[in-house]
Formats: sequence, structure tokens, C-alpha cells
Amino acid sequence: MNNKLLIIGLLTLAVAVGLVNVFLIPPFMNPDEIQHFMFSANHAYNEKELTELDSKVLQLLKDYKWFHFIGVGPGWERIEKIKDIYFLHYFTRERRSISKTYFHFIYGKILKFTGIKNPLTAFYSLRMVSFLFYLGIFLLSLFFYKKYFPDKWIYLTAGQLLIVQLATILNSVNYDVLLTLLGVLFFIVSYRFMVSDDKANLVFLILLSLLAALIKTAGLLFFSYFFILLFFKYRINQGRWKKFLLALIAFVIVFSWFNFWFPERFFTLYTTVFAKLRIFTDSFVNTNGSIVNLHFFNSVLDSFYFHTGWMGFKLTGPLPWYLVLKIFLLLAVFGVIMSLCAKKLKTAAKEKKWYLYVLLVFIMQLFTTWFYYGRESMAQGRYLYPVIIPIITLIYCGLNQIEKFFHFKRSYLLVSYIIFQAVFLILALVRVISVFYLEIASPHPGL
Amino acid sequence: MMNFEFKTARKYLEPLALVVLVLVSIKPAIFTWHLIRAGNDYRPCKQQAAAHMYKCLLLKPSVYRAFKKYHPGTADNLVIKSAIYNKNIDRLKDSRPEPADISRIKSTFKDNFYLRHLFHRFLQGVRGQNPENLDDVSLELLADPTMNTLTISIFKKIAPSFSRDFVENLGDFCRWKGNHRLADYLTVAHDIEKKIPAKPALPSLNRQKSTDRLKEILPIKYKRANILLEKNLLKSPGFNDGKEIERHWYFSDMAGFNPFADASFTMGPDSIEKNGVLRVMGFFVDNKQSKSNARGGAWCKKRIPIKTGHYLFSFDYTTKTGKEGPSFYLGEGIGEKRIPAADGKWKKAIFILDNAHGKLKFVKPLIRIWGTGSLWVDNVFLARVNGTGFSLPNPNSVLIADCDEEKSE
Repeated sequence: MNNKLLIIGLLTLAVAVGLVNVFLIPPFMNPDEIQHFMFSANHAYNEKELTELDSKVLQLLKDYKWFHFIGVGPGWERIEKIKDIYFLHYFTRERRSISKTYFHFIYGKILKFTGIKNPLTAFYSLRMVSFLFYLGIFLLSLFFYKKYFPDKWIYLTAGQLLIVQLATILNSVNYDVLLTLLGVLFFIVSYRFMVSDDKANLVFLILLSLLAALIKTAGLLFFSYFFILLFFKYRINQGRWKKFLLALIAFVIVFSWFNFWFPERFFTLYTTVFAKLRIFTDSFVNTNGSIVNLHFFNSVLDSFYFHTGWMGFKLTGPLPWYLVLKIFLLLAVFGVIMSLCAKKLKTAAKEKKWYLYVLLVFIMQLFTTWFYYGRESMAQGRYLYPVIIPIITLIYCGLNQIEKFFHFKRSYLLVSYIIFQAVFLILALVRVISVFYLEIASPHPGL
Repeated sequence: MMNFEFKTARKYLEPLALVVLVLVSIKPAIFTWHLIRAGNDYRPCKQQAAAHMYKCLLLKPSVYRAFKKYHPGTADNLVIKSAIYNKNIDRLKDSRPEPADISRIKSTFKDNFYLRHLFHRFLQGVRGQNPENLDDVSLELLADPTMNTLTISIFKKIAPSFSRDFVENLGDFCRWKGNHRLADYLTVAHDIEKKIPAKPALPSLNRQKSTDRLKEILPIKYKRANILLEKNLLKSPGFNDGKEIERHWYFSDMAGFNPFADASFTMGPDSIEKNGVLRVMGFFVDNKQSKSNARGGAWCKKRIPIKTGHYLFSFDYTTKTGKEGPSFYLGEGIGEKRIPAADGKWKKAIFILDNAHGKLKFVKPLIRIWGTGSLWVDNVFLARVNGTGFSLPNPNSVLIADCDEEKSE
């Protein structure tokens, strides 16, 4: 099959998966969609319209059995305002909070531009906007894998495309879609920066990390990825400290101007992040690290692949689906370690440097997720999506290394991983239909 | 030739452009530095944060809106206070929306910015809101002796809208802060009869005396001769050093903004018979059914890790009016513990926390009031109770004992 046909086939699949996720999942049934929708609506409607919107959205929740699927107990019929939903009281639209970001500003302005007043139409319009960003993410990833991993690009692209939860989250009204888009761009430019000397990449990387911070608090992590990248690019022991210093100055300049232009966002970020850091250091010192638990890793890994409806429903059935996925991931981890230990770092090729870089990025992202959500029961895999490119390349690198180790003539491991994911995707969609439309899964587990 | 000129020009222009870029970025860089410092200091110490916020304001006045938007009330006043003390208000004026028409108000104070702000607050009373709904920073500004001329001029203008209770408490507050002139003015102008002294005439309680009394009470109440207490886990328990108090305790102000009812409270170091104590004051409270009841007090800054077992929490306290409604709170799952007012006597509150199940990992003591008046606190004590087979008569009850007598209630 030629490449053109393959690309068209993958693109068609991406469009199908995206649209299915937009229209199959009932309104507001993806994590935090209500808050994000209401925050966005703040930028689109006036005070009177917003008051009406609140009651209309609440009616939609009732019509679509939202309370039932979320698992809110008796008494929900008496709820009169969205903020009265007990776990949403922190997210009232009036509240100025860290959750309000430039994502809401962008989505709100799009909504205002369209002039849509009907809440359901408005909601689906925003999901469609997310769908367009999702397609953008897919195309960018595809061209990246095709250009820089020409031998196995099909596995990498398919591997990313078939992650059900990724498609669900990226097609919902949630700032994760914009952060993932910036993440994909960031790591594409990172790769280009690592293999070339174009200064424009450096400026682009700085801008992307700053934009990420404006979209979501987790975007602040991009700064650290940028510094790790600088270290890899201009290692001081190679006598390139001048370039390193210049890059740092460039960062400080752009960073300062962003702070100067967007003080509101950055001040809120600093107050929240520093407060979190304090709690973290206190907790870590005082509990001897006992807050690390397997539940967190299970929850993150499971929901990385599929955990729909506000983390309410997983795949069930005769096979231990998630265990199989975890075995693949474990094999990939072994493969990555084998790959990195194969030669000394000093003699490593550019590709190996890239794998080491993305490994550090992934560990940092996972660690931060644990730090932020580790003690909560709802740690989610979607927090890893901004680093989806590193994750996919690591899985590919790891499984590929295992194949090399066992001298496989063909990519049996990669193919079986992709096939398993495809089966998983189909079953997940069946599960979505059974839960939301056939109610086979009742009683729901509830929040 | 052209190529040569371009290359030569580029050779000099590039570094020049870089230098210019660095120079024009100095201001945003300093701004960023102060913004980060403000963000870092905001939660643990708002006063420190205010100094950095003020520096940010000088560099970019419009940042005022950002501070006000996300931290209404507190940030607003902290910034204003910083600005007033730094006597550099003019640069802020452009960024601040005009709150009220004050053109007819005359004041000898050279900066009328403060006047604008306070007058705007007080004018809220005309529109049906409570003019007494002030936060701790505004109250401190009111009691600042260097601003007496201005403050008195404001009071002459709008004081009738204040409740007598508020004015009386404000007078007490002024005396606490050493501003006797304003306190005297308030007393005379409002014809306030001083039935109760501003501060109870009580002996000071030093830590040793307090601990000895605690050791006396425990075996009697719990009928065990050998209750052993480990070391006190709380920092600055005697409240003798103002800076130490600031390091380890902060003001918990749950009043005057949503979802809390209108009220004004403050907290700070005080002394009784030259012995350092912590004082919490309530000036006015207007609880409404639709809102959470207002309260204010002193909260320990750090969470204190606890192990499985029993812990003893105690402190000495006294109140002025009997309307204070004192209470304390240790953390989630323990519940607020209301204690009776002390009516001018030293009382000791003792609570044994049963953590035999080990479910509680931390405590974070908070001592506060829900009404008006003054609460003085001293000798706060939190320690693990040693000894096996320790049993409690009623794990949820708080024991209140007199500090200077054998009998206990």
C-alpha cells in the first residue's frame, strides 16, 4: 500500500473517531465539561443570558440523565443552580479561579463570534472546535512521525490514534485539547531544535512554553522541558556555555514580557503553584513518602487508555484488558532501558539523546501529576496527554528494542500492540453505547 | 560593495539590537521578579506580598486590576496600605477606577487616595450595605496615629451610620494600637460610657505556671496519676515575640466576602501585664441566613503531623464582653469546638484528641471568635499523651477549667 493511501486511510479513521466522540458521548459527560463550558460562556454572553444559560444547562443535565451517570444520589431534582451541585461549587462561573484561563477566553470569543444562543448547539459547536484542534494534533503528529521516524511512522501514528481516552478528551470542551496541541508542537520543535541549529526554533519553543502557561497551570512544566532541552543541546562540558547563556537570556526576556503583558494569569499561577509546593514539601517530609501508592499508577494508566463518563466506567469483560496494556507498557519500559544502556551516553547518537530527553520529560510529567493529584482518588491519565509525543515515541522505542533483542524478523510486537489497541477501541465504543444508551451498565459506580 | 556594507552593518547592528532588547526588557524583568515574589509570599504572608505587589504597581499601574480581580478585598487593601506608607500614590491614580465623588471633602493629609478608598467603603453604608464591613488592613489604617487628622475628619462626616458596638470596639482597638487620641475622640464623640475596661485587669500567666496548672487538672479529671505529656509541637506557643507570631500564625478572616456574612475581625500580638498574648477582635457581625456565619481568628501556619494515639490540645484564654463566641478547630474530621466566654477571667480549655484509629494525619489549630469583643489567648499547647491504656470519658468534650483555682467546670 502506498503512503498516500495510508495517510488518507488514517485521516479518515481520525475523522471518524473524532466525530464519534463528539456526538456519541452525551453532553457534559466528559470530565469538567460543565465548568469549562460555563467559563467560556462568560466571554460570550451578557449577565442576563448567563443567568438563563445556567438554568438551561441544568435542565440539559437533567434531560440527559447526567446526575444518574455521575452517580449523584437522591435530591438532585431539587438542585436549582449549577453551583449547588456539591462537587462543582468551586467552579461557579462568578468565581475567579486558577481554572479560568485563556482557553476559556478563546472558546468564549469563538462562541460569541458564531452568535449561537441555544446552549446545546453552543456546546456541540465548542466540541466541534475541539474536533478541529484534534485533527490538527493528529496531522502534526502524523507529519512529525513520517518525517523523523520514516521506517515505523505508521505504528506511531496508529498507536496515538487508537488511544480511546485521548480522542474522547481532545474532542470535549476542555483545555486539555489546546495544551496537547501546544505540547505536540513543542516536542516537534524540540526535535528540530535538537537536530538543527536554527535559532528560530529556540524562540518558537519559548513562545510555546509561555502560551502553554496561559492555557493551563500544567503548562508551566513546559519551562522545565525547555531547560532540559537546553542542557541536552548545549552541554556545558562541550564548551558551548555561551550559547546556553544566550538562550537563557532570550528566555528571560520573553518570559518577562509575557509576565508584563499577562500579569493576571501569571500572578494567579504563582500563588497557586507556590502554595501547592509548600503543601507538597510538608506532606513529603512528614509522611516519609508513604503517599506514593499503586492506586495512583493504576488509576492514571487505566484512564490513559479508557475511563469514560467522569471516570465512572471502564472496560469490563472476559479479558483483563488493562493488564494486557500494562504488560505492553512494561515491555516498552524494559526496551527503553535496554536501548539507553546499550552504549555510553557520550557516544550516543542524536536519536538516543532524544529518547533520553523524552524519558526525562515523561518522568517529570508523571511525577508532577503525582505531586498534584497523587493523594486524590481521581488521578487521571489525561494529565499526560501534553507529552503524548514523548510517550508514543518511548513506547515505540521500547517495543522496537525488545524486537531487536529477540531478533524478530518482523514487527510482531508493535503489530500486536496496535491490533490490541484497535480491538480495545471498538470494545470501548461498545461500552460507551451500552452505558449511555442501553443502560446495560447500571447501576453506575458514582463519584 | 552592497554585500560588504550589509555584512558590516549586520556585524554592528546585531549586538546593538541585542543590547537594546536587553535594556528595554529590564523593566519587565524587574516586574516579573516582584510578581513571582508576590505570588510566593501571598499565601504565607500577605504583608510581604504587598510590598512586592506595590513594586509591581509602580512599574505597571494597570496590574492593580489583576490583583483586585483575583484577590478582592485583601490584595486591594494591602496594596493601598503599601502605597500609602510609601507615599507614592500619584502613579496609582490613573489605574484606579474613581470610587466616589469626594471633591467636596477637605483634608489636611497630602494624599487623598486613602480618603477616597475609605470614603468609598463608608459610602457603601448609604447604599444599604454595612459601612463597618472592613477588613483588618482598613482597621489598621483607621487606627494609625499618623492619620488621625484624616480619620477624624472622615468620622465627623459619616460616623452616625456606625453602630455603637463597632465604635466601642474600634476605640478598644485604637488603645491596643497605642492611638489613645483617636480612642478618646471616639469615646467622647459617641458618648460611650465605659462600663467594661478596655482590657481585663488580670495577672499574666507564664508558661511554667500554665503547664503546672495543666498537670494539676489532668489527673483529677481523667483519674490517672501518671499522664505523661511529650514536648509541645506548636511554635511560638506563648506569643511573646511579634515576629514569631507572624512566622507561625496567620489571620483567618472568614468575613465580609462571599460566602461569609458581613463582619470585621482582626488579630495580632498584645500584652497583659507585660506578658505577650495573642488577641483576636471582632468589631461587628451581621450574620444572615443566606450566608455562612462570619468568624475570624488565628490559624497555625503549618500542618502538624500526628501519629496514632492521643493528643492533648490546650490553651489559656480570656474574653472581654461575653459576646465573643470563642471556639477552636483542629482539622477535618474533628469538628469545631465551641467554648464558653471567660468574662474577664483566665480559663483553660483542654481537649484530648482521640487518634487511636490513626485516621488523622495532621492537625492545624485554629482559635477564633464568632462574635464581637476581644479574645486573648496564651500558652497554646499540643502534645502527644504518653502511656498505655489511656481512656477518655467523652472524647468529644472540651474541658474548661479556671486557671487559678482547683475546681473545674
